Amino acid sequence: MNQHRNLSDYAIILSGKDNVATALVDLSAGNYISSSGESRTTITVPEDISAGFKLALSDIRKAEPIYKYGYVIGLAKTDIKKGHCVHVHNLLSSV
Amino acid sequence: MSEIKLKGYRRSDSLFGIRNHIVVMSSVSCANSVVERIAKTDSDIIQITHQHGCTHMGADTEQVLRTLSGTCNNPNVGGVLLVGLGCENVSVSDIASHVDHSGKIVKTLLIQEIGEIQKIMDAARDSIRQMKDFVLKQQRSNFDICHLTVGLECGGSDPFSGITANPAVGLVSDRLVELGATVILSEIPEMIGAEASLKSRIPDDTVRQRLLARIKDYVRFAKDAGCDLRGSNPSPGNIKAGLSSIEEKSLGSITKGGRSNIKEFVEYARRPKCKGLVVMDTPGNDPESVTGMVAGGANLVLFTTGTGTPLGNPVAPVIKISSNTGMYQRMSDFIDINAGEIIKGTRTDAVADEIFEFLLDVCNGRQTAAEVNNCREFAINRIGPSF
Repeated sequence: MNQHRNLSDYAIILSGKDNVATALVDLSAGNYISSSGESRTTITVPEDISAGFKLALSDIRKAEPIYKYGYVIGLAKTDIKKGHCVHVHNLLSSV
Repeated sequence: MSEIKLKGYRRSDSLFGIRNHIVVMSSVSCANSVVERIAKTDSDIIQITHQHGCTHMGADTEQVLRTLSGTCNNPNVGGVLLVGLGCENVSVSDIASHVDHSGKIVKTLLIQEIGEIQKIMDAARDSIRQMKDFVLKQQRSNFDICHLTVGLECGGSDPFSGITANPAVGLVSDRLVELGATVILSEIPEMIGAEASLKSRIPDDTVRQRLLARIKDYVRFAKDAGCDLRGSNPSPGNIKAGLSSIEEKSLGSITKGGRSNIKEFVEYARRPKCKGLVVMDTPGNDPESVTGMVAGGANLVLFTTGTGTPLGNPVAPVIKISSNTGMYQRMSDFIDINAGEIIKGTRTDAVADEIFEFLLDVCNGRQTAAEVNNCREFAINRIGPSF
């Protein structure tokens, strides 16, 4: 499947500052286009992501903050590649 | 003054009820059965019973008194019969002395003083007749929406709560604040991890410091109870559904407060002094939190839910908003508005408009699902032990 789909049809980015998007529907592995103003980036999602789960919009390095709603929701436990699922296996709460 | 006029029952220049309830309330749990028996004699009566009123101390006695008198002071109440035993901490005369009698009728009855059940029922029947005569004479009159107080609550959140229902309610909250109304954001434990977002919106130093200190208290309560918040919140169910941290859960929760500045931090069950967005010190427990806001004067409550709940309140309409369509379809007669279609592309502001229009209708008399189902939970937040 080399078809490019619009990420905004499948997931929501809640703030311009965010480095994750949240899947609104079950999102299958493949290539997605993320558009923000003039810029368009391709995001390759390696594995299916269920509705409600998050995916990285860019490479996030270990210990870097993860933003959703424009605020930090935790720190990366490991390096996270763009398009990969972000959840408790690679995100650590800072509370 | 805004363009939006509502029709309500005038209690004072700035207080209007959107309902005109007659309440029979126990001052102490020992009077509960008598209150239930009185309430059964007339279907127009709202019964309020609880597990408190005696054998508590200091701050609890104050909080129980404040909650009971606050509930009577809620503008949606037109008449109240307070039923006490006679030897309790929180007496009917204490409660009555904290109730503003303007625009409403307050009656009291003491079980030990009257004695036998039939005499008590006769006295209650007299009081109910007087309250009905008083309340039935009152007519709805125009009032500006700036006199409205709206509580915000979420219960049984899911990962879509922070994307669908809560942001839609957030837009309604912003609109109410712009129109001069009072909006109460509650549930302090649901703010843990969202401090950065909250504090940027609190201009007053004291308000900011008090709220942040209270959030810290809840982190400490969890530690003192031997719980690691990171292990228990988000719950296993939250994690299975995609929520990864308490920060993520809290940031989703507070979106129902919109983007307005926070003007005041009020104690549980205390009436806010400021208009605009305020925070009340309530726990995450839904019936306790809603009871606190209604005792603080909330005319109605906007309640978002992911897993679904029948919850209502004895005197304030609770508008239930679902975060996902599946639950809405499964529990449709408990829910007023579905925000779940935002997932499929319905605009958040369109759902906000729907909520706002429904809210105006409810103010003018339309019944909510919780009212139709007679769901009227009442629970007072306790601080210390019973003695």
